[in-house]
Amino acid sequence: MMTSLQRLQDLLVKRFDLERKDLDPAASLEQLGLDSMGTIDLMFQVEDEFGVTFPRDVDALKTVQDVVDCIERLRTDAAPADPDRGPVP
Amino acid sequence: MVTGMGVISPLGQNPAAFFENLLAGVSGVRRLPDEFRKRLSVTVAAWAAFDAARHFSEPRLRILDRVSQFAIVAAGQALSDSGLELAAEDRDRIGVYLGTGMGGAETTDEGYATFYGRGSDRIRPYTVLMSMNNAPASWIALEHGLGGPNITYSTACSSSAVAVGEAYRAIRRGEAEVTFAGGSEAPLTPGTLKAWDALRTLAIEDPEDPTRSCKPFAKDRTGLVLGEGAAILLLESLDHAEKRGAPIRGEIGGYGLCTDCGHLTRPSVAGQARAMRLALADAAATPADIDYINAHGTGTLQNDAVETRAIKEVFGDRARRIPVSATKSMHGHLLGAAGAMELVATLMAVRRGAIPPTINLHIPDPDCDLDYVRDRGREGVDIGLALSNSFAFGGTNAVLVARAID
Repeated sequence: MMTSLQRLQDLLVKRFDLERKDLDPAASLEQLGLDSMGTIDLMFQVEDEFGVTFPRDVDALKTVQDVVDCIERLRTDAAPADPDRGPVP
Repeated sequence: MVTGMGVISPLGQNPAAFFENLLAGVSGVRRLPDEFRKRLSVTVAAWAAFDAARHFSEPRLRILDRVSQFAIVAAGQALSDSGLELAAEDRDRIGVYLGTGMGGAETTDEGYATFYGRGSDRIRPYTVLMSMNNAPASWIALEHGLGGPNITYSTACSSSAVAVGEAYRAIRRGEAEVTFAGGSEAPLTPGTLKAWDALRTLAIEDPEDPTRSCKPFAKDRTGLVLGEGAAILLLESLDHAEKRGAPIRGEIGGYGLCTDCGHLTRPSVAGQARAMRLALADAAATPADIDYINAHGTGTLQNDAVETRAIKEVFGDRARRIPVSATKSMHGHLLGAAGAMELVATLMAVRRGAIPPTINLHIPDPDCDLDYVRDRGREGVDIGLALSNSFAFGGTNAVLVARAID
């Protein structure tokens, strides 16, 4: 089964035209070209992909790993009835 | 001076293709796809065969409404046509003057469909940024680093004629040497078409040939056909153009602007005539100097009769001898992009000495009795000065003068 990191990397490659080799967990979103607007776009895409809802304030998300951690936390907090609804078309 | 032109239209994806199709009397009007027609009375429109993926990556397309896509590509064409080296210019002095009526209609429509129609809260985060009317002009500035004035005019169907006219004035006043000017419109979404439908001003599909549904100045005209696209010009002062040896595509010789203030939608002979007279005066021309008029000519019952009367009022006995054509019969009504698109047609007509026709005018209307250049284009015509008329809901009348280059 793919890890959250792998799924996030796939999404960044597919939807943000990024190179997989640049997507180290420590890579900063800003250095990947995701400014504040880009981060909001990423949140929207991640919400669709992972079936989670980000909190309003996402300023703490600075790196790829921050996003993964946030996804994991949100999925743990989410209702267990639907832990992994998978990609939304 | 016009030193560059760019066009995305239902009749071609560059100015040359656009004008050749116009001259040949080709119609860009088509029957709408079935999924559009389910809940609409309107069944025809003129859309551009525009391949967004050829011009933009997926991440960019997530933030660019179709109206901005058109504008960016048309501006790029105008820049490359002009041969202007932006790196050698003071870009803080280069502005963008653009017109649009409906802005990012597709994004607005999609947002409402998601929220109200599908009952979903998943509204795309860029909805505001994509639908705002000034997005197309802003993207052109961002793309090329243009730090001069960035202004979007929204005066419905005269938006881009006003934009070009105001840019022309800025150059004439010495406030700028170079500007981008024009308009963009992408209104062919179900919600926008439905809104126009409700106004009962759209053409009924021709029962024999849907491509012939727009019939300006004809007795059997039934309304306008909506179209989409962008037309953007690079305007330069004569000095600036000469210094760099720029290619001259044409010259704007005058601009008339006024407002009907009697009714929101009903056109007025007095207002239209006043705008034409103001344009003539601005060009230091008389009615005897005008050799061609690109009419507003929408194909609505009201406009075409009123415009005919206004032309007769301004040009008197000469009115019947001036070729007048309604290119909307072919490219449809591009609303906020119409004025600039028709100015491109007019500038190319002047330069080529060839007048595009009014197609679908088979049954004459006694109230429309001018020389409308029926069916086929007319070549070998010496045109010194020509008018391009744009009249709008809301009452803003704008007339531009195209002048032949010596």
